[in-house]
Formats: sequence, structure tokens, C-alpha cells
Amino acid sequence: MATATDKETIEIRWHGRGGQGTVTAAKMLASAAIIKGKHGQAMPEFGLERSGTPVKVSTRISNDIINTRAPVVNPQIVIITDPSLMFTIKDQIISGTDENTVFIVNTNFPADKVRKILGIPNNQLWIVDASKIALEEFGRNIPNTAMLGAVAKATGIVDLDAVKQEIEEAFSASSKLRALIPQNLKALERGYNEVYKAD
Amino acid sequence: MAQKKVIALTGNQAAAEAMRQINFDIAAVYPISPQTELMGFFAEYVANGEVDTEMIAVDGEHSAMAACIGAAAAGARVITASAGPGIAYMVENLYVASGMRLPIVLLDVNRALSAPLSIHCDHADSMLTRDTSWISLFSENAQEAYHNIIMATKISEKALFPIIVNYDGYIVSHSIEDVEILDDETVRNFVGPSDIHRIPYPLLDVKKPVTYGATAQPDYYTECKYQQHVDFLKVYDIVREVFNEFAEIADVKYDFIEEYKTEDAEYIGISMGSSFGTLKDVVDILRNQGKKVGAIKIRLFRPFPVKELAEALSNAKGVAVLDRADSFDGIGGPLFKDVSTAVMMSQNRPFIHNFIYGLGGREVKEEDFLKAFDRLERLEKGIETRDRFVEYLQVRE
Repeated sequence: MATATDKETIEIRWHGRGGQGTVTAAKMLASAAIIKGKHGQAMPEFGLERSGTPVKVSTRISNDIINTRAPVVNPQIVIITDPSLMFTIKDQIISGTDENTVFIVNTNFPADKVRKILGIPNNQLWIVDASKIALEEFGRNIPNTAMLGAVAKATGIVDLDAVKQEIEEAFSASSKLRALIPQNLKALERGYNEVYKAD
Repeated sequence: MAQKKVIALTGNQAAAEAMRQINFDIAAVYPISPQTELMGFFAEYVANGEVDTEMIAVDGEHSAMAACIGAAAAGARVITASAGPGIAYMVENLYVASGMRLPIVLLDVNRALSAPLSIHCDHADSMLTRDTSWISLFSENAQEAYHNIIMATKISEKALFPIIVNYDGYIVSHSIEDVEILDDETVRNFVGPSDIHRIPYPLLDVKKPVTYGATAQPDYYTECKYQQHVDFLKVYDIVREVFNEFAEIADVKYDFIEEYKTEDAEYIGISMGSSFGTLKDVVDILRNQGKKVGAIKIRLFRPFPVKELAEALSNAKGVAVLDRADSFDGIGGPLFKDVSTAVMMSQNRPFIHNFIYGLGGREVKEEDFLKAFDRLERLEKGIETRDRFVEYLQVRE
């Protein structure tokens, strides 16, 4: 609905599961835009705040002040951080999208399979196996930083350096978290380099 | 000159930042979602020695307010925070705090009341505080929550009434946005040092012993309440004064209400909290279609800005009051009845209708408020009829 007013706002909707860092990634994306002087907003929609339950997050990035607090209804970009959601909540994922919506998906499926499951034969589709990257880099399926790299590459709405800065800040709270910075920066870069645009 | 920087913060982070900068003497708290995260952030500041605040972990919200009352009476600068059922559990002591005329800041991270249990946002919790003689401010976003906490500290101490700062649970508390933060020194200069003689009768002033919380027999209770009544009317001027002082450091001029495109508006929507941003976008959508509509936000909820609102509504044809809580009283939502009073005092007494929305975290979309404006116009023009003043938006029947 942002297009109904005369503002130019990029609207993004994330679909993930609790515990995979989807909310954190959405916040880091907004923060990375704010660092660069833009207006940003990331609004999580929690169900029960429990691990494993589906989580939806709205992110907006704009040169104008963002007034609305409505969830993103017609996203320009849809990001799927957990591939199993394509089977369980497909209708929610494609809700409000059209043929111009860009999809960025964490999956090891080939592109044609993703297109078939979601019913998006002609949409711009970017694929990255962010879970594999996360497992290889820090041994846990927390694909959020790899996804952020993929989003930066696929959309160009934030630059990689700003996201790096965000990761360093977000992980600076304790020494335990700080120790994870190098692996996450590596995951970010791999996400950026390994994401590919499907035919 | 105040130094400012824009950073990305959630509502809870922004509130914790204001608490850190003000450096309260006492924070007495009990955790409850969505306030828990706020106190988590603040507990880190306490643990790291970034503030001098003594954090008292109490056994419940009733005790949290009791601890605040004791500390505030002693002369300390105190804060607590809660949400939903926690506010409900606190209510008895809210009357004690205001009756004793103690400056206390309470952050209400707005949450629905049980049953059914919901941790999500509506304003039912804050509506429990309507008649407690606490000053009450609502915040649209993290920026306003941050500003309101700083201003509230000063308002409360000048007025000698406790104050509530409301911001919407999850929608504001857990969402990230760009927030302009003032430098520590500017904030500390603005609120001033926490000397016990900020208030007239601190218990710790042993040279002037006083009694707090004494009993009043029928020969004096009425006089005490009358004094409270008279002084609560003085709160308007104090709030305006502090808003004006704040404008000098923050370059933002707040008022009791915020008007958006109301000058020539025939139809006006009124809301509080985070939904006002969405309402403004809906006004823009309808203005693009040539409709003369506007919106008003209530920032100062208690004391209610009845005169200012009456003035703002004087030329409107119809008013839609958007309530994020139900009163279950056969009339309408809490805000509806306050706005109705303003309408009675306004020049042309516009048509008024009440919509209840956003209960228990129900997401609020542009289409919901578009529907409200449409229904209002049809009712006002007599195209549609009503048998009640109030109806629910977004409900599955």
C-alpha cells in the first residue's frame, strides 16, 4: 500500500522460524540502511516467541520518514530463511506478491523446484544454500548472516560494508558473542558470493 | 548546544537509553512481556556500572510500586516499568502514589489483559490507570517513547504527580527504527540533579519530619481529594512548559494533541500510540482521492486535553474515534467517551462514531482505517444507519 501515497519505500517481508535469527537479520538490514542515513523500520510479528514457530518480519527502507506501522502487505522483496516454510505456509509467503516481486530463498533445491512449489514461474528468484554455509562456518543452522549477504547482493539496497559494521556491533555485547564475529563475517561474504540468480 | 545522533534502536532499547541517560536513583521492577527485554537492557547498564541506579528486583508489580512509593517519598528519583496484567496488579498502589503526590515514572509497554491470555498490544492495561490521577503520555514510536521519558521525569517532579509513559508492546517495543538520541550531558542538564529537595517534603530531610500515608477521617478526606483535584488541573500548564523547554534542546515542538491535515478536514480520525502513523498514511491516500480528511493523535491522555480537542474539532463534520480497548459499558471505548466530551464542548458538535481495533495485537492495516473513514462518512451523510455508537473493525463474525 506504500505506493498509494507518494513515498518511495522499499517493502520487504521475511519468513523464517524462531531461533534462526530472522528477526535479527531483518533488524540488521534496517540498521545497515539507517547507518547510511536512510530511514529504516523492522517489525517482527511474533506468534508465541517460541523456537521453531513461523516468524514474519516486515522491513521498510526509505528516503522519507516511515509513518505506517502496518505489516507489509504487498512486498517488493520476499525473503525465505527456512525452506520448509514453502511447504507449510506457502499461501502466506506468496500473499500480496505479483510478478514483479523478487524472491530470495535459502534452499538446496534447484530453482525450477522452488518455482514449482511457490507457483512463481516468472518472478526474479535468487537462491542460496545459507543453511549449508552456516553449518560449515559455525556448526549451527542459523542462516541469518549468510542470508544478509545474499540480500545485499540480490537487491543492492544496502552495501556489504554497512552490514559488516552492523554484525560487528550486534555481536559486541559479550565476549562469547564477539568470538563469533569472524565466522559470521565469513558467512556474510559467502552468502554474498554464493547466491545466484535463477534463470 | 545539544549534540544529536541518529541510530537504529527498538522501542525498548530507546527507553533503556533514556533511563541510562537520566540515571534514576532507583528502578524497582518485576519482569513481564513485552517489558522484560527493556529491563534486560537496563540491567546490563546497572551490571556494567554505567549508571548509579539501584535496581530492586521485587516479587511482583504491587511490590514494585510499593518500593517506588517508599523511595520517591524519601526523595529518590524512581522509575518502574510493566505491561498488561502487571499494570493491573499495580493499580491499588497507583492511587497511593498519586494521593501522596509522589513523582514516579512508570513505563507501560502496552499489552492486552487476560482472558484469553495475550502478550500482545492493546491499550486495556493503560485504561486501568485512567482515574488514578497519574499523568499519562502516549508515544507513537521509539523516538517519542525516548523523548517522552525524558520530559516525563521533569513533568512529574514539577507537578508532584506520578506519570505514565505508554508505548505499544511489540509494535514499538520490539521494532527497530531510526531514533535521534541526545547527548548524555544535555539530557542530564534538562532533568537536573536528583537532590532530595527537588520535592517539598522528602522523608530523608530529618530536620523537617513529616508523615506520608496517614489516615484521613471523614472530616478531612474530601479536602485532600479537592487539593488533588485542583492541582491536577495545573498539570496542563506544567506539561506545556516542559514541552516548550524540551523544544529548545530537541528541535521538536510537542503539543497535547498532534493534528495532521485537519485545517480544512471534514472527517477526522483520532487515535493514540503506534496506529497514528498508519492513520496519517491513510489520510494521505484519501487526500490523493480528493477527500477532505485529517487525523488527530492524543499525546497527553491524562489530564485529557478537552479544550484543545474541542477547538480542533470545531469545523469537522464527522469524527471517528479509534479505540484500542473496549469498555464493555454499552457506550463505547474509553477514548470515545473522552472525545465525546470534547465534541459536546466544540462549536459545531460534529457527528461522532466509535471503532474498536487492534485488540490483543491484531495487526492494523491501512484498509482497516480506510473502512472506518468510509463508514463514518456514510453514517454522517445518512446513507447508512447505526443502532449503536460503537462497532468493531477487523472482526470475523
